[in-house]
Amino acid sequence: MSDVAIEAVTKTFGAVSIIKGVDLAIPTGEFAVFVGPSGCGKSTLLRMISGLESVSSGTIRIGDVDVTRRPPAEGGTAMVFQSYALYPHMSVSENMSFGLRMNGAPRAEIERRVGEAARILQLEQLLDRRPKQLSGGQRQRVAIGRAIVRHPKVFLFDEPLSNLDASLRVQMRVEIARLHQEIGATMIYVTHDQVEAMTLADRIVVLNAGKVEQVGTPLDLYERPANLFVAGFLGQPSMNILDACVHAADGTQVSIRVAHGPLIGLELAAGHGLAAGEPVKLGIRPDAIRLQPRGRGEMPADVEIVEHLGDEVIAYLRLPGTPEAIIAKLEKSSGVRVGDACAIGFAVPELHVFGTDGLARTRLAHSA
Amino acid sequence: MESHVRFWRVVLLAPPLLVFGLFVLWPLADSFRYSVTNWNGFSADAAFVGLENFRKIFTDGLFANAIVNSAIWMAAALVLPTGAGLALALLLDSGVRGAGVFKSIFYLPICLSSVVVGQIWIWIFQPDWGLLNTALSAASGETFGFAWLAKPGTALYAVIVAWSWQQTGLAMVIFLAGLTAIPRDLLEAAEVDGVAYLKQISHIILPMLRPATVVVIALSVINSLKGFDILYIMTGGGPFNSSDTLAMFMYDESFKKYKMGYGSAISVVLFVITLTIIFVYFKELKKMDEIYE
Repeated sequence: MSDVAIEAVTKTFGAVSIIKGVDLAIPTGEFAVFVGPSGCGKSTLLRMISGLESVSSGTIRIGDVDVTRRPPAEGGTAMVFQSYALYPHMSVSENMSFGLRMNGAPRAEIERRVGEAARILQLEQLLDRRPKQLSGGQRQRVAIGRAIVRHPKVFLFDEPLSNLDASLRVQMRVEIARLHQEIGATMIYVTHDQVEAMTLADRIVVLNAGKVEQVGTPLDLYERPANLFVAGFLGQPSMNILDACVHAADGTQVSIRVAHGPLIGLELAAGHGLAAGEPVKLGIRPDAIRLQPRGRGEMPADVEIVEHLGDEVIAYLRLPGTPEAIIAKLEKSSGVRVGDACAIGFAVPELHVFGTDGLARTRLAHSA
Repeated sequence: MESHVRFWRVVLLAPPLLVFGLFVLWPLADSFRYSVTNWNGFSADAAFVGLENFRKIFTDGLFANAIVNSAIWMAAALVLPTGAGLALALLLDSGVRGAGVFKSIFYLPICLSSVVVGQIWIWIFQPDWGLLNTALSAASGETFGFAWLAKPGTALYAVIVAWSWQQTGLAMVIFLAGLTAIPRDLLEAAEVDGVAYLKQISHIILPMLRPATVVVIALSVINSLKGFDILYIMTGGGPFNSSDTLAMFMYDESFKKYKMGYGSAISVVLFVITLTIIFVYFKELKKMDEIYE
C-alpha cells in the first residue's frame, strides 16, 4: 500500500490539452473516486497513474517512487478495466494467475494468492471456467481478483461497473466497498456515476475539462460545493440554480432578491465581494424545497409533472409567466398532483450563493 | 410459414442456386461420373471401367510424385505466407509510420493475376539478366548464372517463393483484421501486469489470433491445392515433372494426354483431400465459437 502524489500533471495530445495541471495527494489506504462528465479527463488521469498513458509534464509518485516515466509494470499498480479485459482462452484461475506466472512467481505462492483472492471474491467454484461461461458480475469479480493476486500498492478501477445492469451494479458496488474494508488498500476509482462516487469514496475528486474542480468527502461536496459546476454535478436530481440579485450588502450581511421570488437575508463570510445590484445565482437542493398553499409562500408555482419513486416524489414546478422550472423532492405523503397551484418555500439555511465568477460564497449563519 | 413468404424465398434463392448448380454442382457430379469411365474428352463413347482409374492412380509413380510435390507445396504455402503475413501484420499494427501505405503495397500482389505474378518472377529468376542472379553476382563479385526454374532441384521452390510473395498480402490482411479485433484492454492489462511484449505475443496475441489463423491456414491449404496457374506459367510442372502438383498432374492427364476419365479420378481425389481439410477447418471454427464471443 502506498500514497499517491500527483503534482502539476498535464497531458496534451497535439494541440489539445486534456489534463490541465492537476495537483492531488491521495493518502495510503484511501478510496478516492474521480468523477466528472464524459471527456473531463478522469480516465486519462487514471491511465497516467498506471503508466499506460505518458505524462506531458509534472510528476506522479507512488510511495517514494517517481513513476512519471516508468513503464506500467514498475508502478506497482493493478488495474480493473470497464471491459473486464479477461483473456477468453484462459480459465478463471489462469486469468488471475497470468501476471504472476509470466513474472516467474513460485507455483506455491501463485496458488496461495489465487486461492486467497478466490475466497475473498467467492470465486472458488468458478476457477476452472472460461470467461464466456460467467455472468457479467462474475467476470468483473475475476478482473478484480486478477488485481488482488498481485498485491499492488494501488488499485486502479476504470469505470468497472458501467457494463453491468442496474441491480448487479448495486451488488458489485457493495462488494467493492467490502473489499476495500477487508484489504484496506489505496484505491482510485473512476466513474461518471455520482451514486457510485458518493457511496464508495472516502474522498471525491470532481474533474471538469481537465481540471480538478473540488476535492473532499462526499458529504463535504454535497453540502458545500465550491462552485456552480460541482453544485450542479453532484446530487440527484441536480441542484436548482435560480437567478437572483444582491439587494443590499452591508459587511457580512447580504440580502438577495430571487427573480420572481422573495427577498432573503443571509450572512456570508467576509471577503464575499458582493455589492448591491450585482447578479448572483442561488442554489437550492430539490429536497430543501417546501411546497406551500398558494398565497402563503412568496414564489407561486404550478406543478407540471409528478414522478412517484415509491419512497419519495419528484415534482417539476413551473414559475407562472417564466421559462424557469424548479425540481422539488418531496415526501410520498405530500399529496402533490399535476396541475396543483402552489407556492415555493425555501429552507433558507440550505441555500447556496454563487457569484458571477461561479464560485460559492461561504455562509456563516442563516437568517430568514 | 405463409405461402407468399415461401414463394419469395424460392424466387429470390432460385437465381444463385441455379448458377451454383450449373457451374459447381453439375461439373462436380460430372467429374464423379467421368472418374469411373475411360472417356478421352472428345469421343461420344465412354466405357464404364469401375474403380480402375483409382486403382491406377495409386500405382502411378507420377501421382506419387505429384502428391509429394503437393505436400511440399502445401507445407511451404502454409508456413511462408502465414509466417510472413503474421510478422508483417504485427509490425504494421504496432503503429509504425506509414503503415497504411505499406498495407496497400503488401496487399497489391494478391490483386494481380497469377499469370502476371508468374511472369514477374520468371524475369526475376531469369539466369542471365534476372534480378536475383544480378543481385547475387553483385554481392559475390562472381558471375552468377543459375537457372532456378530449369533445374529439378530448385524449380518447385522457386515457384513457391513467387506464390508466397503473392499470398503473403492476403494472410497479412486477415491477421491485421484479427489483431484489430483483439481488445486493447487485454494487452494493456498484460502490460500493467508486467508481461513482456514477446510473452504477450505468445500467450495473448497468438491464442487470440487463432480464429484468424484457422482462416489463413485453411485458405492457404485450399489455395495451394488449387494452385495451378502460377505453376503452369512458370514451369509447366517441369523440368522432368519436378514441379508437378496434383492440379498440374490432373491437367496434364486430362488435357494433354486426353485421358479425361483418369483426370477426373485425380480431381475426385483432390476433392476428397480438400473436403477433409474443410471439415477440419469447420470443426476448428466451431471450437473457436465455444471460446470467443
